Order: sequence, then C-alpha cells, then structure tokens
Amino acid sequence: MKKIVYLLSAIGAAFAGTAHADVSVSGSAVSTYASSDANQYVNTSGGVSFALSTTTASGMAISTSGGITTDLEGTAARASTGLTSLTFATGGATIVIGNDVAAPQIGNVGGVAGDMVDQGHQSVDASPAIGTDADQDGSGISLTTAVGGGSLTAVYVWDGSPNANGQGNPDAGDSSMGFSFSMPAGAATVTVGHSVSDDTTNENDTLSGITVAYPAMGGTLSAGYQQSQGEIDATAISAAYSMSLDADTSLAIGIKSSDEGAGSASTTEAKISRALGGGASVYAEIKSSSGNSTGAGVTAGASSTFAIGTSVAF
Amino acid sequence: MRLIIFISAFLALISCSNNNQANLEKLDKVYGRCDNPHRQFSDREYKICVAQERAGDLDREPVSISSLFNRPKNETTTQQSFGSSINPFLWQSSLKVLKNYPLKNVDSIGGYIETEPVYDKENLSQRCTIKITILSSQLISNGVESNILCEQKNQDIWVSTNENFSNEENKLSLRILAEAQNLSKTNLN
Repeated sequence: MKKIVYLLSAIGAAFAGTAHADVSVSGSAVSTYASSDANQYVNTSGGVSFALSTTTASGMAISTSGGITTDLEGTAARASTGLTSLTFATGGATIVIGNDVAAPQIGNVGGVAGDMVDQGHQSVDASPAIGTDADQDGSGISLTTAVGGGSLTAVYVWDGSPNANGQGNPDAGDSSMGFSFSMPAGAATVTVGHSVSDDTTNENDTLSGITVAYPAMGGTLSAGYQQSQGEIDATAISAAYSMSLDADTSLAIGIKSSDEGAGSASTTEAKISRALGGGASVYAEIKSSSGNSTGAGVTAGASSTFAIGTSVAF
Repeated sequence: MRLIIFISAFLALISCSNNNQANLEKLDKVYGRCDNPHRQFSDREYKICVAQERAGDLDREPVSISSLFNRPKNETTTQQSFGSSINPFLWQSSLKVLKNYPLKNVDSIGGYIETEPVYDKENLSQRCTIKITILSSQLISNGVESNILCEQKNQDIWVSTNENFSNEENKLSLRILAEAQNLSKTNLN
C-alpha cells in the first residue's frame, strides 16, 4: 500500500521544481521556562526569515535569505542576519557560496535537546573538536550532489574568520575543508565525514566521524563515533533514538560519552513535543551531564537542567 | 591552487550527478530535515525548521509576498464566465496534477474529481483512489481538499484499509495550490 501512495504523492514532486522570482517570509517564536539547580530562566524570542529566489531561463534556482532575530537563548542576540550567501540549485547539485558555509562534523548524534537546556548548564570540555574553533564555519563554498545512490557534500572554507565587513580572504591562512557522504546500507543509512583545518597556529587538525541510522521499533536508532586529532585529541561515542508516539507527539533520547586525555564526560538529553495544529507545539526537554574531576571533563554550572515551552512556526 | 582543484572537482562531480533532491528527501526521513547533514541552514532558518518539525508542519509553505501584490484584477468576472461557483485556477490545476491518471468522475459544477483505482502492478490485491474537492470560489489555501482512499482485496471483495494518509493528502493539496498560483499569474500576464 505504501508503494501506491508513494507513487500518488510523487505526482506532487513533479511540480517541485516549479520556481519563479519570489520573496517569501516565514518565522518562528518560542517561549520557554528553564530550570538548572538554583537558577531559573524565562525567555521569549523568535525571528523572521525572508527568502528571495528566482529561476534562470535554464531552470537553475538561485536563492538567498536574510532575517531579523531575537534568539536570546542562543549565541545571536537581537540582530539582522543573513543575506551573506547565495545558493544555486539544479536538478543534480546544490552549491552555496558565501559566509554561512561550515565544514561537515559527522558522528555526534546525542544532542537531541534545544538551546534552553544549555542555560546554566555546566560546560562539557571533553569533546572532539577541530582546533580552537569548534565550529569550522566562515567564508567558503559547498557542493551537495548525488553520487550513485548516496549524497556527497564537499566544503572548502577559505576564511574561518571573515572581517568586520563580512569579507573573506582566501589568503587568510585560516581555512578548512571536508566532506561528508551518506549512503544506504540495506535498511540502514551510513554517513561518514572528515574535515581538516589549518589556522595560523596549528596545521592539519582533523575531525572524523561516522553515523549509522537504522529504523527500529517504529522509530530511528542512530549511533555515532567521532574523533579529533591535532590540538585537541579526543574521541566520543553517541547514540540516539527518536520515534513518534502518535500523529502529533514525538520523542527523542540521546546519550554521548567522550574522552579527551585525562578528562571524560557523559551527557544525556531527552525531549518530547506535541503538535497543537496551526504551526504551534508544546515541548519539554532535559539535559544531564557528568565528568571526572581531573583533567578536562566538566566545569561550573548545574549538572541537570530542565526546560518546558511552546513554539510557533509562522 | 587548493581552490582551483576544489572547483575542478566540483564540476566533475556535478556532471556525474542526478536525483540530488530525491536523495536529500530520503535523508530527511532518516535524520529529519533540520538535522540532515547535507542541507545548509542559517541559524534563523534552522530555528524555523525546528519549530515546524515540533509542530509536525514541515510542509508549511512560506507566505509569498510577491503574490500579495499580484492578485487577479477581476477574479469575479473570471469565475462568472467559467459558469460555476468553484475557483477556475484550482480546478484547472487539479486536472493538471492528475493528468496521468484516468478519471472516473469529473464534476466541473460541483468541483469534484475522482480517479479510477490505481493498482500496484506487483500486488494486484491493493488499489488506491484519489478524490479532489474544490471548496471555494476564491484562490485560498483551504480551497481544495484531497483524499486518498486505499483498499485491500479480501476474498474477491475490496475492503477499505482505513489507513491515514494525511501527509500525502496534504502534499497533493499543496501542489495543486502551487500550480493554481502559477496559473493565476500566467492569466494576469
């Protein structure tokens, strides 16, 4: 039965490539209460995103996006964002050029909760990372394309720290490159990734990882392994399970255990959300972490945080 | 030099590629669209995606600002000349979306289209039927309703499976609406 329905719904996909010059807007807002030991946080934030797109005479879609955000629970405070990259999409590939390009970091599947459970939570220092900049993103180019039955993403970041004007310098000496490849393996999906980073103080820091996702017990079971070498030598294994309890309720649990020299840490996260219709939902999330007292491990903050909230997509 | 080699490799890979979007949609089902490692999102786009995922509403289309300023000048006249109380663009787009399937019932006055049963050639004991109903004379997001009814053959009797295909029905309705919007813009020009 699924096969017939798939064929019927595919007639909609035949029109998926229809595009024309358009400006569209979407947005989201969240209101969350988070508790971590003696500290409590109440936050309401959100933002809008404007998507600009057009289609050339040859059928290639070109798009960009910008927005206004007040993500107080994340790293970006009130700010206008985006409009710093262009995306070119054809039937065979998607190319992104600009300042929002990130080298692939594959192998960590344990982080299932959102940002609010990080408020007041202790910092987990034992974790694979590529050099001093754990998030290798910046000015560069990425390509995503199909190769056989799999998907390949290749990324080159020529400047991990664009200047204040957002301009990237290919000769900055702070570059990263990497790839990720996903392919089916029977009923499972395997994704591998490898990134290399060079900056002014360190050369050839690497981050490698593998993820295997398998449908099980009505949901998806994922396992991951990640390893970094260079300035930070660390390994981590993680696992996650996500499922739908019913048409409106979803559940996910994730765990991660990492080692960096003498330090070790483990983290457990869980979330449950229920759709209310009209783009609204309510959710609850929890994060718990622990580590050893010597070496790196965990520092400061609470070891367990809990957050409940509601979010709306417009 | 590294950049030149990288771009050359890009061009070689693109020439060998196909079905990129289909593969991305398969990986969306494994990792979720927001956490698909082969999709690039800005921070704001990621948060909107997460909010849509929580709400079970990943197919929600963004509001097109361009269409707000390109409304048909005399939509009423178009409807009157069509001779029925249903929106002509929704009607025409429904017929276009279902053009590859033989139609069993077509009612242009009441705004109803029903296909002949579609069979799975590898299992002739299963079949599904699509029913489209135009609900409005206006081109609005809830002006079309899609239903997919599937049956299983049980001792020479076709019995409804009573399965819920709300996700597939929603996708059909969204594609009809998208095509109707294109037709209305073509009519303007």
